[in-house]
Amino acid sequence: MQAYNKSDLYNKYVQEQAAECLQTTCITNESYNKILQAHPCKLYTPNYFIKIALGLLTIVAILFSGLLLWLLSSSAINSAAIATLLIVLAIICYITLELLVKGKRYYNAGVDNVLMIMVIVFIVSALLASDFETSWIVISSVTMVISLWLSIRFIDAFMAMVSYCCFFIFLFLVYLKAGDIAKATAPLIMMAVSALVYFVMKKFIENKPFVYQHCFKTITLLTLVTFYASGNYFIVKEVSDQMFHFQVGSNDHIPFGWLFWIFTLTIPPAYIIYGIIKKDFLVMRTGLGLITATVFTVRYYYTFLSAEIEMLIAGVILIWVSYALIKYLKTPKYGFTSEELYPSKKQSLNVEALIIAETFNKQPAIEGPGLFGGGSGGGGGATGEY
Amino acid sequence: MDLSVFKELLIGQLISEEEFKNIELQKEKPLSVHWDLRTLLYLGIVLLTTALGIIIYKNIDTIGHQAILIIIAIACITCFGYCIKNSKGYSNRKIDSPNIWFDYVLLTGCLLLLTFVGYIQFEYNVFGNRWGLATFIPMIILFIAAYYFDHLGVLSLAIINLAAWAGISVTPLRILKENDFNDTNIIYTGLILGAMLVAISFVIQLRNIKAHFAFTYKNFGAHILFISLLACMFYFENIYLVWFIVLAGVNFLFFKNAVKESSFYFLVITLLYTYIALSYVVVQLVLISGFDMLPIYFVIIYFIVSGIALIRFFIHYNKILKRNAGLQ
Repeated sequence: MQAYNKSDLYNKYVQEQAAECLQTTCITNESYNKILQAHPCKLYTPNYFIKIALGLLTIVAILFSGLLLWLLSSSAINSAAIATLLIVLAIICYITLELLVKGKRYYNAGVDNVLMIMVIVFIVSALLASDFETSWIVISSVTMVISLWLSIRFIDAFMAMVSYCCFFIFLFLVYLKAGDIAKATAPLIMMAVSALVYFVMKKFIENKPFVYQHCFKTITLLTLVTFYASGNYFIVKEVSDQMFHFQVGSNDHIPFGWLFWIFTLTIPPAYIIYGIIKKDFLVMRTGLGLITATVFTVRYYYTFLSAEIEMLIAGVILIWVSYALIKYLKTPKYGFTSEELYPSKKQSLNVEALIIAETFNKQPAIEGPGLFGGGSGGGGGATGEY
Repeated sequence: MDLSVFKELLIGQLISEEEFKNIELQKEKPLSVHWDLRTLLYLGIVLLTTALGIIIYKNIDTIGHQAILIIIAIACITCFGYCIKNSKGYSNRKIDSPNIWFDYVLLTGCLLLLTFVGYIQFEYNVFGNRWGLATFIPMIILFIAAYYFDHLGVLSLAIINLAAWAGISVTPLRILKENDFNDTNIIYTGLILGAMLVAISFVIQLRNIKAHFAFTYKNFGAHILFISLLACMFYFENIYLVWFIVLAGVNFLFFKNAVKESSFYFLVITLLYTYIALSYVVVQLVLISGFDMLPIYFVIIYFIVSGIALIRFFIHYNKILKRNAGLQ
């Protein structure tokens, strides 16, 4: 079913594993080279920056091809004609993708990723543009099926993500059709679905890791997020307000509000603790990230102190905790260490410098005391630049 | 790591018994949370400094300007004092920071310095109308600090200050947003500044003075230079072809250099900037005859063909660069 040769995929997996070993100095350079020679991989995956450039150029080429087609079929003014045109474009993208993968074995080369996304974008636009009253159930189910196929055939983690998201939305919308009880229990059901998918993915990862391992891992990450989101007080309340018009003001409580507060408050710490016990960095880091979401949720409904005092306290706690942990874990304990085990590459420092430049940038000549204290805290987005 | 893979490699005699043992032992080794903790620390510092800034700003009437200035000055001096005490001294090579705190303390000191200078200028107008001095002095200190303590982040701040002194803002997200490239002054400044930074990056590599700073200089320099050159093309509409030739020449040199140094990053940005310029020229030349259908078709086909051609070109050079196995 995959568009790629199985031995190529296996060899790629071996190469990745070997690279990891080389970095952790388990194996020598010679062995590494020997492994590379014995497991040649013909898949074409270029350098990271080249990948971005290829992706951008593919977008240019596709958009102008679409424009050309539209001009040539100058009759395409009514919605049916536009929808047809979009579907034709989607088909062209898919055929190009198949041909390129077959002929040149592009694998995460930027070109293939963009083509896949374009297939989805064109199909969804076609559904939206057509005259038919297309419901979100139809759109999400169609997108789910197509992206699932793309992720299976081209082993693409992003498509797997899209597919899971659509699956989640689809299930939610279908379940709501069941009536009032469904509306009340929807959050719990969606949590159960997330948990179920999480455990299924875990099983998959254990069983046959090498072909789809990246896909499974990204879905695992998403299930963790959707599990939290389905139980988050803010999301449950806002979605109920929007979709069922519960006529609750911002001060009213939703039914079983306390339950969702418990979920909101306990899930992130639970992730962190579980991640630490199981030594699962994915779960731990997701927990750390979700703490922010919990903080914002609480702040949205209750204000205890002014924002800057809370920031001050949070900052002090963060510095104190991380400092204490860095000191405490200097000698490894419980299987964790704060030391860098293997020297990081030069790149990360350059990136750090750019982030500093962005977050802490100030220009004294044109500023007043309003920009005080360093760091507007709003930047940090230098990722695309390096 | 997947042990079953390595078992097979062991059977195929691609790795030795000893190496396999190493890999098995790897599972027992502690996991490093170094970067997680550093990220948290960094977040904490950002939150703390921002919060302090807001608090001071809100209470400025009760605290008084002098008190605040004194506090900032003391904190700043403390930071620099700490750094001087713990520093390993200057060297032309790269110096590793003595401990995990050092970099952050230095950064805080530098930021406080910038705040201090900005504050006295705003409140007391110390430098009068010589705005240049208010950026020039911190710039000099930042450069000294960056070189003496060997800190890439401070170097970036220094370069940004240098550009601010020259009159343009150059942080990655603001370079296009906050500069008015319809002003010839800014365009020429950008050209000179960009060329200068690129020149510095080459000189320090040649002379081996803090050669690891080269990337930062070159990165800022290249973007400023390219954007200024593009601005020249768009601004001087009558002679845009002349500027295009200049741009093409500069980019050709960059391209040669990127291939020589196997730098994927500079290869990509050079070619993409060139592509923007070329497309501008093509569109200008074709549409000069008016907005007929035929020229428009031509432009569309140009974009399709050139896009695909450039993709092939990138793939070709990716191969060449990979062979030279440069990491950056």
